[in-house]
Amino acid sequence: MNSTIDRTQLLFLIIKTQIGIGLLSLPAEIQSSAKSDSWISVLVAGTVIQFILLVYWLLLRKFPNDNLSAITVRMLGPYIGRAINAVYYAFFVFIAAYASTLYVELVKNWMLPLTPGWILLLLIIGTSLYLAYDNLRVIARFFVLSSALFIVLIMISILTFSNNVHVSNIMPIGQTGVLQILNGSEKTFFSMLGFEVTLFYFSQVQGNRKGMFKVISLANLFVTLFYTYFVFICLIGFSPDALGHMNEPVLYILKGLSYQLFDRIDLIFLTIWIIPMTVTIVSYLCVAGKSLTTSQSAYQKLVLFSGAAVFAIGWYLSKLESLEPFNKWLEKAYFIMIAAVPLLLWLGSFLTTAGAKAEST
Amino acid sequence: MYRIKKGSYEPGKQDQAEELAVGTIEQRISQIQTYFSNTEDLIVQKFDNQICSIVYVESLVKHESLQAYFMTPMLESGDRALEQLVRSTTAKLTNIYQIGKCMLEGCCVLLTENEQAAIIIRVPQSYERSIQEPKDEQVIKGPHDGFIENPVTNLYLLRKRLRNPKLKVKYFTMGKLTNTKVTMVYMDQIALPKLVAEAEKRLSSVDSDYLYSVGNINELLEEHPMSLFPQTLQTERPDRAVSYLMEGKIIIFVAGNPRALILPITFFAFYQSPDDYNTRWIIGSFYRIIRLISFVIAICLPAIYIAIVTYHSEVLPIGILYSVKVSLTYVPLPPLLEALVMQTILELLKEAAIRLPSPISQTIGIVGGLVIGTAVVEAQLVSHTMIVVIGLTAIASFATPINEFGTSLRVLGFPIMLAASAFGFFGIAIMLMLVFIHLCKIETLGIPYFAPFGPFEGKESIKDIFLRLPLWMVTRTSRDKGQGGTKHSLFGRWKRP
Repeated sequence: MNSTIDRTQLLFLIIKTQIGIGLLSLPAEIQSSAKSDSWISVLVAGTVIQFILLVYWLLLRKFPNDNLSAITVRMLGPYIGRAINAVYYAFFVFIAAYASTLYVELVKNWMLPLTPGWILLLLIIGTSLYLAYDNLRVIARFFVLSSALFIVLIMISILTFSNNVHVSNIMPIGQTGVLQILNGSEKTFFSMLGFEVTLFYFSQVQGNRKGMFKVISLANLFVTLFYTYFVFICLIGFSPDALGHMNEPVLYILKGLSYQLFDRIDLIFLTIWIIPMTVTIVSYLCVAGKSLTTSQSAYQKLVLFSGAAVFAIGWYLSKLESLEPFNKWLEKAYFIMIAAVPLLLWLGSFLTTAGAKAEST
Repeated sequence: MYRIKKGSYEPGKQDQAEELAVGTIEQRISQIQTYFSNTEDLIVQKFDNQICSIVYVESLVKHESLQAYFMTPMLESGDRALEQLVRSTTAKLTNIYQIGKCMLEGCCVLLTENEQAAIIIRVPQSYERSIQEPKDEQVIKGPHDGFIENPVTNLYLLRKRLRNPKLKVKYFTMGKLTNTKVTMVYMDQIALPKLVAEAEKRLSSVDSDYLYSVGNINELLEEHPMSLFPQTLQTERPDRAVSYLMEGKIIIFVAGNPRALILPITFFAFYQSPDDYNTRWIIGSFYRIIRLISFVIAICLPAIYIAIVTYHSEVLPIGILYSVKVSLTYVPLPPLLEALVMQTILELLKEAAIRLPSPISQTIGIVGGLVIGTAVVEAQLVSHTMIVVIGLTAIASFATPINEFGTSLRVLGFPIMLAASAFGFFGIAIMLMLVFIHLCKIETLGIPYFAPFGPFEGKESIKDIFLRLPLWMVTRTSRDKGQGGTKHSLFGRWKRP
C-alpha cells in the first residue's frame, strides 16, 4: 500500500476521526462530576492526549516508515506481534460497532423513531464501506472535503448566543475541586478517542518527518478547543440542573432557536453531524484493515469482512438493555491498548536497538 | 441505432497484402473494381490512345480540380504531360489495400502502360458547413465561432488562436470498418507527458469495428463507465478548447463530428463558462456562486421538500407549514409520487420539444408549461408547492453551462428523492455522502475528478473555482508561477501615479 497522503490530509484524518458521536452527549456526562468546571476537564483531557501523542511521536520517529502493526511485528517477532495486531483489530472493530450503535440510537431518537435499527445500521455501514474500501488517498480526500462542514457547524452553534446566556453559570471557576475535574476528564477522554489512528496513518505521509509533531499537536489543539467550545456553550446555555438530565445537550441547545424560515435548527445540525459520525466509522474500518494486512487486495477483503463484523456486533449491542457494562470494560482495555502498549513499545525500542548494537559490536 | 444482421465481412490480413497484378491496364482496373465490390460510382476513364486510364470514386473527387490539373493538360499535350506527371509524382503504390485507402480519401488513381505502380493524384472533394456559433453553448460576450465536422478546419480554429510551435497534433485511424480519422491535440511540454502517454495508449488500444461519434470514443476511454458524472467535457467552442489546451489538457476530434472531447476534466470545469472571463470579475464570480448554488438545488431541493413534508414538518415554522400543508390536503398522492410524476412530465416535455421545429415546440411549451401546470394543480393531483419545487429544480439544472451535466444532475435527483422519502434528512445526508465519496473516488487519466477540493490543492488553485478572481491575482500556468516575482497590490495592477 503505497498510497501516500500529505500533512494537511493527516491533520484532517485525525481531527475527523476524533470528532464524532461523543461530543453530542459529552456536556451532560461530565455534568455529574465536574459540573460548572466541565470545560476545564476537557482542557485537561486534551493535555493528557497531548502526552500520549508525544509518546506516539517518539515511537514513530524511531520507525518512520512503519505503522503500528509493522512495529509490533518487528519488535516482538511475527507470532506475538501478529497476536497483538489481532487484538488491535478486534478493538477497532468493537469501537466501530459501539460507535455505530450509539449513532443508530441517536438517529432513532431524534429523526426516525419508527425505522428499524438494523436498516439504519446497514445504511451507515454500507456508506462507510464504500469509502473505506478504497485506498487511503481517496479516504483522505473525502475527509478534507467534509471538514468544510465544521465551518457550517460552528456558524450554526454561534446562533445559540441569541438564547439566554448565563456566563455566571461557570462562576466561580474551579469550585468543584481538582478530583472532580479529573474525574470529568476521564469521561471526556473517552469521547475524544480517535487520535490513536495517528499510529497507522503517520507512516503514509510523504516527505520528511520534520515538524510532523506540530501537525499532530495542531489536530489535538483543534479538537480540544472544539470540544471545549461546545461544552462551554452548553454550560452557559443551560441551568446546571437541566444539563444533567439531557441526553444530547448540544442538540437541545439548538432546539429552542426559531427563525422566520426555519424551526428546529437542531435537526439541520444533526443532519450535517451525520457526516462526521459516519466518517469516524470509516476511519476505524480503515485502521482495522491496516492493522492486519499490508497489500491492497487483502486490505479490501478484510475491510469487507470487518464491515460485516461491525454490523453483527452492532446489531447484538443494540439488542442489549444497557451498554454500560460493555462500555466500562471496553474503555479500560482500550486505554491499555492505545496508551500503555505504545509506551511499552517505545521503551522497548531502546532495549532492542541497544541489543542490536551490542550484537553488532 | 438498430443493427441488421450483417454479413461475414472481416477486413482480413490477405486483403492488405494483395498486390496490383502485372498485366494490362484492363486487368488492373478490374482488380480495383473487384476490390471496390464493383460499385457503380467507381468511374473508369480511358483515354483514346489507350496508354493510360484513371480510376476514381465519383463522390469523393472534386471534378473541377481533376479537370484543371489533369484532364486539360492531358488532352492538350497528351503523352508529354503524362510523362511529366509520371516523373514528378512520388506517390506510387502497388499495394491494392493502400490504393483503396487513398481512393477513399479522395484520390484519383492513374494507371499507365509503362508504369507498373498506380500513380496517386490528390483531388479530394469536400463540402463543409460554414463556421457557426454552436447552438447549445451560446455565450453573450465572446467569440461566436464554433467547431465544424472537418478536423482540419477545427485545427485551423485552434492554431489561429494559439500561434505556438508547441501545439502538437497526432492522428489515429480508428474503427476497423469505418476507418475514422481521430485527431489528438495537445500542447507539448505543457501537457504532462504521463497524461499524453496514457491517452495515446488508450486511443491506440481501442479495438472496435466502428466509430461514429465523439460519444463512442468517450465511452471507450473513460475509466468509470458506471458513474453518472461525465468524465470528459464535450465542447464546440474553440475558445474553450484553447483555454483547456493551455491548462495542459488533451483535445480529441473525430472526423465528421463538430464536438471536441477534452480530457482529463474536473468537476468544476462544468461550472465555468467562457462568459465569466469576458465580464468583470465581480460579476463573473457572482455567476459562479449562483451556478454552484444551482448544483445543490438541482440535486437536493425535491428531496428536501419530500423529507420535510413526510418526516420533519417541524422544521418549518407554523406559518409556512400551514400554507404547505393546506395545499397538500386534497392531494391523493404521497409526496414522492408527486415529485416523480412531475419530474417525469418535465422530462417528457423537454424530450418532446427538443427535436421539434421551433414553432411546434413553442406550442408544446405552452401546452406543457401552462396547461398541464395549472390543470394538474386545479385537478388536485399535485400540490402548488411541488410545482414550485420542481420548477426551481429544473431551472437550476439548466443553469449549468454544459447541458450534459445538468441532465446528470436531474437523474441524480431521483435516488436522493427515494432516499429522502424512505429516511428523511438522514437519507439525504447518506446519499449526499455517497455522491461526494464517489466524486472523490473517480479519476480521469489519473487526475482526481474533484480537484482542487478532493484533494485540496492549496488556495492558489481555488481562485478560479468558487470565484472568478481577476487575472492579475491568478497565476495561470506553472510558468507564471516561476516568474511571478512581482506582487500585485490588492486593488488593481496599475497604481495611480
